[in-house]
Amino acid sequence: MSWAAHDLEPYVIQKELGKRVAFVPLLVGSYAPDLLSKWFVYGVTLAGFELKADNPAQFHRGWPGFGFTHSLTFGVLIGLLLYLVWRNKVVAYSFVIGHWAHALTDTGDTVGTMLFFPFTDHLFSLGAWAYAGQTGRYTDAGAYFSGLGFVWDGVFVVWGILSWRVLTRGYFRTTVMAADPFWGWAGRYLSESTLIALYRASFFYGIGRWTAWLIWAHLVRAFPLDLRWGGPRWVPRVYADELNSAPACRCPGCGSQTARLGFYGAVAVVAVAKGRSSSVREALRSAPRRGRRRWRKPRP
Amino acid sequence: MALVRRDGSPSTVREALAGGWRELALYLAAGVVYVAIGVAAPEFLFSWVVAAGYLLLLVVALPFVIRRFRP
Repeated sequence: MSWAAHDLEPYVIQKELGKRVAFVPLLVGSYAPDLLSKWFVYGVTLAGFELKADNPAQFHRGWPGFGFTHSLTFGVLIGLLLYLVWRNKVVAYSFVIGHWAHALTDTGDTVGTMLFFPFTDHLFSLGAWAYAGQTGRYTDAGAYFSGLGFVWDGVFVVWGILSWRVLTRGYFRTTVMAADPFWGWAGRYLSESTLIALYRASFFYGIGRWTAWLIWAHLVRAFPLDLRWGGPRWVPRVYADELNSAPACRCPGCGSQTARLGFYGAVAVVAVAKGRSSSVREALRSAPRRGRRRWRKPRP
Repeated sequence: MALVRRDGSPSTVREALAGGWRELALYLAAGVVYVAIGVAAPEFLFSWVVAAGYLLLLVVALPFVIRRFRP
């Protein structure tokens, strides 16, 4: 799980895609996977009764459970429903983009997400930071802001600040309002300053809570910092291989940490190599024909 | 050089600040207070609705009330 990335991702995506996305569906999509399930993961007390999942990680990310909300397929399904209701392609795929950003970001923790549910209930996990939702929200916050999770959020904090132009009034008027029908409708009831404050609210929330939790975790509560892969090690963590049918799964994603790292490292190397080879191929294709050396099989 | 880009945003930070430094200061002040409250009472940090309500109160409602009752 992430504590600030889901608030900031929509602004970064907005900066990259401009008028091609609608901000409100993008933001709703970014929050959607946790919208109905997070309260039950941490638990709430109503009239003296505590409502909390018996196995919070299984409920949050697994199947049986609410883990299907973190699958790419679920994002597409809701996007299609939005299209059927609004008949607006931009609204539909903006939701899907926001939702996918959330689902992919959450693969960073030790539990990961069922990206291709219902085709498989396999949990795709990078295991970079500990999943500790079952420990309660304060310990979870302390753990998250003591491991690589807060560094990942920090990437979005910096990227979000570098995307400052999307927060300006002029950008809101020219780009955000033009692409998203919500603002035109809301503008009939609310002043422009109110609309802009609402538009900036998630950015404010993301940066504000990231800063506050970081201060709280290390200056107020003194949680030990542990930036090792899969850390912090002091918190009881849940792993992907403890959920669903994973114990029977022999794939590198469910195997040991080293195997998993090796697997993802290999995937990254192949991806980079493929990118390089295609760029070399492009360069060769566009090079002038004369002077281009052709490789020939050496004669025996 | 154009002062405004095609997407409507100012072309430089200086241009952005020239038109809206008061607004930026207001948001920054709201942010500092939000962080201070959040560190003192972390329960405040859990809800997006609380954060949005707080922001609206500080950057929209409060300036409106001050403008309205300023002699």
